[in-house]
Amino acid sequence: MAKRTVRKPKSKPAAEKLVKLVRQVNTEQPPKREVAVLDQQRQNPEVWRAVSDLRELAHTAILKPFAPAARTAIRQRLEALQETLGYAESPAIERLLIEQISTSWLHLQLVQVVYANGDARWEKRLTAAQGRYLKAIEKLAQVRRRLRPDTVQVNIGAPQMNVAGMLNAPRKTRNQKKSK
Amino acid sequence: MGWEDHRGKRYYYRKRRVGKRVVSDYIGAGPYAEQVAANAARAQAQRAKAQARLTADREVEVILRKLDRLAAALTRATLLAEGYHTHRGEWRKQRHGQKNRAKA
Repeated sequence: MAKRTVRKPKSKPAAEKLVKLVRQVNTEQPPKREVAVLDQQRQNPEVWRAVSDLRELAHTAILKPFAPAARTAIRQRLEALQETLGYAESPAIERLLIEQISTSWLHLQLVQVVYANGDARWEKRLTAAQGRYLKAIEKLAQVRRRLRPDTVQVNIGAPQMNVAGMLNAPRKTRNQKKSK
Repeated sequence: MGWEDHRGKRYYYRKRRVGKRVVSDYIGAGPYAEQVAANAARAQAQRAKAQARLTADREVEVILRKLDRLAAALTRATLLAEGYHTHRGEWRKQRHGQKNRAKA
């Protein structure tokens, strides 16, 4: 049996500092001075670089078993998925969450394929991957609802759509859209 | 693995572990044994491949968990900086309340 060795990616100090700060500040009455420090820390480019490095590492690891042509096709599919979630016109934090969705979607696809091939050991991994994917979607909806108050969530059957700016539209236009 | 030579002839045995001992089960010789050996080799290769895939996924999982933690921290930091706070696990906007309104 192959030896179970899992290589852990190195932690970036700035990112770890942010995680620690959030834990301290995330209370019912966050102290203003610490919130200001946190605000500075979250804009630290090193934190964002750490996230993008980790994402690239995750993509490379997930796509490792695929042929180069398939990898390119999958990356294009990921970009298309990000575009449908409004990546281009979103602020940085939403972009991060959209990337989170696409990464967890990619992982979920891979786990689903392996599980469908009959490996029962992957059942827990499938549940975890589905949970991660749904959580990422939930986070994006949560942030959009809070930071873009004029975003309306419309559920038509299974797909979920976030429509920005609809609340500011005249009532007549809104109703027309709804009736469609 | 599994093949043993006795007086110039090859015989196929299946090995299994019983407690601390390894027990050999005689399978046979000739085309039938060749077939069984080929099947066993194929099954072992599949098991090794599945194990490698599992190990690779464990590595991915570690990275994803780290990524989740960082993304969650950045999301929380953004909401806190925008004046939100958590109340019983739910994000709420910081309101000024009666006292502050009276001062204003």
